[in-house]
Amino acid sequence: MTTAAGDSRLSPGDAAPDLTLLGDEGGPVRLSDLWQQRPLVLLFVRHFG
Amino acid sequence: MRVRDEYDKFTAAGGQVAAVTMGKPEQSRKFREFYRLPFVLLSDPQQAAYRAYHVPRGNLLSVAGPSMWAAGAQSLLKRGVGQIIGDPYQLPGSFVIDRTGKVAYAHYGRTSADVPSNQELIGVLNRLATVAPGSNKS
Repeated sequence: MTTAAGDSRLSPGDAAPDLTLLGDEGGPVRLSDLWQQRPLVLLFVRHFG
Repeated sequence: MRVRDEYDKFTAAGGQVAAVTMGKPEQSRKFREFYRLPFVLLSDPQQAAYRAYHVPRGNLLSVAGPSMWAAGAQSLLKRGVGQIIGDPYQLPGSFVIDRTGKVAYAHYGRTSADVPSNQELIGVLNRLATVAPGSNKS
């Protein structure tokens, strides 16, 4: 369903979506709070628990 | 070479790293502590961020083919840390975002093992450092 290429993928110059996720200590972490401090390498991974 | 092993190079280049996972915060914390990860793990069990960044799901071949058995995945499984949590069809995505919130780099994995090298990511950070406001104070 979302596997098709070219479906609005982000490219350099695009605005990065800003979301609030949960940090691993349980508190909220807003992405823009991170990238405003230092450039952010954001990795989407599969999780091996 | 994994990000963890060269994390000092990421920070030396002026950057930071955060990894989005599908686990719950407690699972992520255990994972981070077990592997002594020096960067933050962000929980996204509903995959809202995966969707917002258009990081796609794959098909059976792209997640269960030979690439699945890359050294990293294999060693994790051998050590019995546990099973994949979340969506096994999820593919990886890697981004670098500058301080103004613009995407400076985007890489969408075609298989579960298709991730950029550390050198490539650090190169982007170095490039950003040379153009960042306030970086020309010499």
